[in-house]
Amino acid sequence: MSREIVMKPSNEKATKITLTITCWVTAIIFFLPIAWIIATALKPKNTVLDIPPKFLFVPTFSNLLDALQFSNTLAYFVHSVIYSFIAVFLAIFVSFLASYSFSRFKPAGTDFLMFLLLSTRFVPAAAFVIPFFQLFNILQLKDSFVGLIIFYTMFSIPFSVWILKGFIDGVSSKFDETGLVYGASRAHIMFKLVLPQVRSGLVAAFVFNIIFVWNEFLFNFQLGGLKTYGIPVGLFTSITKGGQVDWSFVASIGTLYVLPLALVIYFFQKYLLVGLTFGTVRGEV
Amino acid sequence: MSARTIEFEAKIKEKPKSTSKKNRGISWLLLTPVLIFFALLSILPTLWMLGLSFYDYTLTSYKPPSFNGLTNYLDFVKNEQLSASVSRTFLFLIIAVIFQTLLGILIGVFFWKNDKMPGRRLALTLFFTPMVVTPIATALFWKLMLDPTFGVINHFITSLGFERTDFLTNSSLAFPTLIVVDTWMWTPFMALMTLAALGSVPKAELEAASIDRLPIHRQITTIIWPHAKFILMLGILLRSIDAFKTMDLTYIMTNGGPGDTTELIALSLYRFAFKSFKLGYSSAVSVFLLFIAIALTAIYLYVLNARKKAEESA
Amino acid sequence: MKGKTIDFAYSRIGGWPPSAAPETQWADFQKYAMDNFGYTVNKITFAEAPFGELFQKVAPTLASQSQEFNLLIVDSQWLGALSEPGWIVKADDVFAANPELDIEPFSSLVTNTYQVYPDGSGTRWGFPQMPDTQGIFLRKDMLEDPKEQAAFKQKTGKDLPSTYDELSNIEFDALVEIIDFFHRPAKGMYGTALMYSKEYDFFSCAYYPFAYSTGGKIWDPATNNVYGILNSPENEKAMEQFVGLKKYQPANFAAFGIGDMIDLFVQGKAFSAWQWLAVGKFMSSDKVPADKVISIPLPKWNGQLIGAMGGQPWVINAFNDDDHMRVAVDVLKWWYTKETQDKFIKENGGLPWSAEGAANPEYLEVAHYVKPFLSMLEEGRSQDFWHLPEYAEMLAVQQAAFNGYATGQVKTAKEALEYAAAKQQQILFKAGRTDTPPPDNVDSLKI
Repeated sequence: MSREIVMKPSNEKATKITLTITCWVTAIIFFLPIAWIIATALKPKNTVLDIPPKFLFVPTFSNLLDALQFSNTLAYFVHSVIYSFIAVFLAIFVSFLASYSFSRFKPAGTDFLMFLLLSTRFVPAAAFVIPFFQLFNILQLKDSFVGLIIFYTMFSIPFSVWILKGFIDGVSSKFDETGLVYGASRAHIMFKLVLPQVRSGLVAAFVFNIIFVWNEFLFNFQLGGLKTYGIPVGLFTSITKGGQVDWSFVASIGTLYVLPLALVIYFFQKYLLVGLTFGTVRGEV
Repeated sequence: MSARTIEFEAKIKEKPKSTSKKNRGISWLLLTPVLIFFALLSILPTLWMLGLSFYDYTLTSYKPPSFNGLTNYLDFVKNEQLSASVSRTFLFLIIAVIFQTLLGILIGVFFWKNDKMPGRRLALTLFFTPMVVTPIATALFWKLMLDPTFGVINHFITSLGFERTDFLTNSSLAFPTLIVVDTWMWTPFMALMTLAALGSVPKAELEAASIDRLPIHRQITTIIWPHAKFILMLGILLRSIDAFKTMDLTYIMTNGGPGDTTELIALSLYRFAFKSFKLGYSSAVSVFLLFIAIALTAIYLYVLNARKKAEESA
Repeated sequence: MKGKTIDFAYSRIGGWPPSAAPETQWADFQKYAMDNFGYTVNKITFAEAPFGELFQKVAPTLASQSQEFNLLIVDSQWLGALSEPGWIVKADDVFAANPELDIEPFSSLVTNTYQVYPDGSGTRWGFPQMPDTQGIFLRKDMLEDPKEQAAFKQKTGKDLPSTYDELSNIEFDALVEIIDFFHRPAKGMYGTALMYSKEYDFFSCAYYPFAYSTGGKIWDPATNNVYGILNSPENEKAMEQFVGLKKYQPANFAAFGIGDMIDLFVQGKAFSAWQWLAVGKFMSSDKVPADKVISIPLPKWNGQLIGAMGGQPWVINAFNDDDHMRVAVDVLKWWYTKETQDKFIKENGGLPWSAEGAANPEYLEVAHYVKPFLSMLEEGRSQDFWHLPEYAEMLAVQQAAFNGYATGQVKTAKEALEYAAAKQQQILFKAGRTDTPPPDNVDSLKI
């Protein structure tokens, strides 16, 4: 049955154009400060603080190159990628198992446990850092990828569980039952039947958590060391060169560091948007 | 119906309880990894922190930790400076989250209504960047942009003929400026939540409503809101909790200043824990904050569940 | 140690070249160790953080008795916090075993600032690494400009001083007159820049000379009492005078730290800047080249001048094993050799602190700021503040109060000092450092 079109075609088009312009203008307004950072990264170093500010200039990549070659920057980039990606993947895997359990078996205390998981995000990081430091010291996990990954996995579990449970709830349990009837193992059901259907949830959980882990500073600073520092720490400890803020450096690092995430958000946007519906819908958002 | 099908359906309807033991075993097995992580890396530090809160323990003092009961808590409550910090944080939280939510919903609706927009993916990506760029970098650059001497914002203000404004060290402007920057940073999050929330509304119901020529405000109250509110409220809750913990922004942009007009509680906590290393005292403050957060969440969940139950019975 | 290979690590202040110098010059130490003692040292590793965050990185490590850093470059205030829990090695013990390390300092300022805790006891814990004192950087080109000189003479009837000799003994009021003359905000040139930031010790260190030089004290080292001493009429007047200079600065002066001084000055926006002299290397740029800059010691208040001390000492991790302890001492031996100090001072932004170094004419020629630096290092010319373990908390309350006065949140200097003094008295009383309790209303005081 076709819908009656309530508005006249030309009105509708005008509305669409207005909306499009509004959306784009909004996006650009929010992006402007970031654009300024990127512009600063591309400006010749000694013009960064010019007043009146330089809006037109010949872009140079020398700041970006300098930033990459500075001290341990490249190593820190690699560290960030390693601990962020591994930790979030691990968190999603482990959370998938738990969410499946919560959704299908509803073990005793499910609601309480879910609430408790969420509550781990409540306290400011500063409160936990020293206890963690002391714990890691005892376990000899300081300045180790194992330690950091374990930490960031825990960091990413609560949100992952919440998202994935919603999605798994949305996959009919008839799939599981059918599978069982046909003699499939539980593992087969989970990974071959259910998992593919919660793709959006997996992506959403991944993107969301990786943003937080990617940009996390305090724990990386305190629990890590030269072998495991990521870019946020690298940036923070090198903000000043000789007492003054090195704006070109900060801008360059900021620009380079946001690129991977921006690309992920661009290419996986569809999944991200659907994924945050917590499983209440599986279509377009 | 074939015999096979009947047999099949019967098996499914059975759901024999005798396998529930096996299921229970599997269910706990699947939970084990998460539970281990949780116990070791969440429960343990929390208990540690709880314990520490009853001690007078300064990491850098020659005095060993000594039990002092509720003294830390009493000191915290008596300290007018800190109490002011807590109320200031609540004020920040309320104003910021309200702005972010309203603006986020507005923008979310724009994008939602415009799903065939050219370059929508790019626009949304650009729109989301504020919450994705490393906070250290954005906070530093906002500080630069707002600088009276070198900042681009003042450049525009003065070229339009207005007076050069000092945003971050002016006692009456610093707090609002902080809220504006925080809003810039997190409105995209609320818009994202709005998009998801609106997306969770069943399309079928919406189509039916527009066929029935239901006026827009009735559509909102009877169809959109009942579905969308769960995700939206979850978004508000998450943002509220995070806003309560805001520290990076205020630390880098104003360091709690001028004076203490932007001293948020997470920053004060950071100072106790890391500048003075008064671990006992900072633990007490953290326990207090934990209780506030739990209370907020409990209220939220209660309201949500109460509504859910009311609807289910309706 | 002969024939062994060993790793070595130190902690340092991030983005601060004098702190990075040991790493920059490390190849020399590797050679020194091999030639003199026959062991191999691997490339040095380090951990760094900005000033305000370094202590939090270093303290938990030491508290856990780890050997993560064998040598540490720290701020002079931390000597108490590091020595009382037994985390660092007593320098006196090292001097006893290695008398050649006990080098004669230029003045007792060096000893009291970089080495001694408790203040006044004479017990030493630190080894000077990079000394620093305060001074003022000025635009020499503007002072030497004949048009400016004529205009100044016309306006004030006095001659505009432009040489080091003329400026190095200047009185505060005369200096302010010159600052006032060059204050031209409409043309984008501010008269001066000072530090009022709440961060770390910026406000306090910038303010202290105003207080010290007019007879003010900040605490009594003998009794550890603060109340009644910090909140004195002299300190009040000094603070009013200090904050009064805001009229020659941009509107956001209350957030100024070291970096802001540099930016303003080298971008040509400030005629003068009251700055740590060790930063001198960075107080020039292509917009304001070094030949247009002159640096002088702080002015005198009625002939009196006492500035604040900066700079960093080395300390040795008490939990080093024997080998690392040995190497740490060797590093210090190497660090204090003439060759190393030469390279440090001539190439890596270092400054001299020993009697011998100060007398070396070559060092004076390295940069224009060495001369005023040494004059501020003379006996009685500067002093450091508390080395107590509670310094962080005390600093935090005073910085908040003082910065509050600068921004107008605290209405009078009297209130700001009252708040700081009362809270500090409370902190010290609770820590058992003093028997005198704080005033009764301490808990209800608010900024």
